[in-house]
Amino acid sequence: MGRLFHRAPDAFVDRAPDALVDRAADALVAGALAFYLALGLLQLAGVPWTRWTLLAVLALLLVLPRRAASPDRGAPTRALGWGDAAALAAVVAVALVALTLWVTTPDFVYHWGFKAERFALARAIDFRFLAHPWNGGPGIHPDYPNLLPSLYAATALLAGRFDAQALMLWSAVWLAALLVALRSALAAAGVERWTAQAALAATALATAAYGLGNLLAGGADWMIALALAVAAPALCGAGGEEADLQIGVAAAFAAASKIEGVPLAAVLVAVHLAGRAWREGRRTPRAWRWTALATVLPPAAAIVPWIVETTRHGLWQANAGAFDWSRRAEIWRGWREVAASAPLHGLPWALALLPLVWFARRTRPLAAVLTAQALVYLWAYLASPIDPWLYVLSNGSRLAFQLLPATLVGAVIATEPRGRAAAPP
Amino acid sequence: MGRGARGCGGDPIHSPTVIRKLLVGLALLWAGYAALRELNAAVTGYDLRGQRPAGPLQWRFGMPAVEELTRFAAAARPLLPAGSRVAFASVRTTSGRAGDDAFFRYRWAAYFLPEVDLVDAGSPAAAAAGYALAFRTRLPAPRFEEIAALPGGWVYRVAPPDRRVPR
Repeated sequence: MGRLFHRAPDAFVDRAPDALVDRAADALVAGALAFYLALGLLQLAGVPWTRWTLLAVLALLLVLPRRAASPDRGAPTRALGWGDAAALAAVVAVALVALTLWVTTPDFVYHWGFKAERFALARAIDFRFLAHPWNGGPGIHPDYPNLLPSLYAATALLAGRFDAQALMLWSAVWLAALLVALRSALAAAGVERWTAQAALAATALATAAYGLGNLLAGGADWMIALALAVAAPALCGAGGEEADLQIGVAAAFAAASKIEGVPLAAVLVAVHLAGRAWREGRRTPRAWRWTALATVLPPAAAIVPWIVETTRHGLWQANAGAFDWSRRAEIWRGWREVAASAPLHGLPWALALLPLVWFARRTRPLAAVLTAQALVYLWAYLASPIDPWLYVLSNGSRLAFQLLPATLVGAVIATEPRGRAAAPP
Repeated sequence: MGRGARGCGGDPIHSPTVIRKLLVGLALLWAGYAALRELNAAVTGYDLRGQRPAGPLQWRFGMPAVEELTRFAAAARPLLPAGSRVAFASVRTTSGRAGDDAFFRYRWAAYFLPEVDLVDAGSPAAAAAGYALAFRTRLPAPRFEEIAALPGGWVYRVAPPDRRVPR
């Protein structure tokens, strides 16, 4: 399925034709999103998800009209190097270990995989099942967006059986795409070759170590990290029509992946539009029309149906309480325990590099997105009715993981001393 | 370091460029060490999965507690009509920070039996269940009519309310 996705998103993303590797991450994200939206349309039309209807959707995505690639746009391509080899080794290691199911997140059993099984049996998003009263509370998060379980269900229907081991490979795919996107960001920022290769290798190994140690296979946290990585080049670039669409698709992908992706989508769109308005305040209203459409329409297409269905089936879960600043001490205690946990090797502390991302003007939009998302998480802890220490222990490491790869690469780009223009070495 | 000392690219070794490279290199070492340690831990843990005791919050595929549930669910599957509501019962032996093992058994069993609507035997939804699964425990007759003894437990048909014997 991933291979089939590879070409479809050319309808959304216009890149230099020789930058095949660079555009793979954009292609995957846009393709997965388009496939998910098409599944929603099938369900709306009352067409069950079967092997044949899914194949028809994939075929349709492949023949979508494609915009002509312009040779003067897109990130410069770089020859593969030792950092790429290290990144590939990290992806292969994660894939092989994930296949054993030993590093599978418990949430795959409690909700991601469980929902996928039910969706595959129902041949649709099974809202009747999600609405069962015993699925509320801390159960299966019935109000979460459904991109990941839908992809799992579709994979199972195409394969003819639900194979949890095979589904773990999606995590390796997200990791590979994440690294490709960050590689593209480093190249587009003109980071000197040795440093770019070392930064890519370090990010790949840190992300792999985190994923293995924190049992993230089968979960959706890779997807939030991927959305940030795909958005990074557009946020750090000079803007333009392509960046509008990249931000729109990344925001939609985040919003469809996990509940915390919804505020991330809003932050991405807001920061991007604010940046464009700051730089190009004199644009005509007509020029703004495309920008607004390309940036807002994709996330709206992912978020609006989700809100409608969640409301219609009464799936919302109350998990926010009154804001209480006095909870900060317990949150800090929980965070220190998370960061000190042996399998993470202190990697969550790498988020302390975030102030460096503010250092350079070009990375400030990325820094703004990362900071705003971190503040959203902090607000959730301060306003949750759950014991704050326990809450941070239960998910703090995963939330930190989502921000880690983009922070690492953002810090490297921000401290590029020569501020080189994008150019292949 | 002497004034003439040079780093890569002809920059002085104390220049920001070289220091930055050193820091990125240190980060690479840190990440590489973490990755190798976690890869080793994962492979070793997987090899020893059958001998590894863990509380229910730490259960993973392949652990004895999960494997027993897998076998039990696989044996029960042919006896349960698809779409039926099934109550799942097991005895709680752990709680607190270790986690409630009865609750987590129910959650894992629900994953292993997606064809039915599995509900916790202690929940209000269990009152309408047509079948019951009892893991390592037995349920009382006449309300629960035994259908089969399985590896790890029993499967029952639950009598409808009007046929239950008043106590």
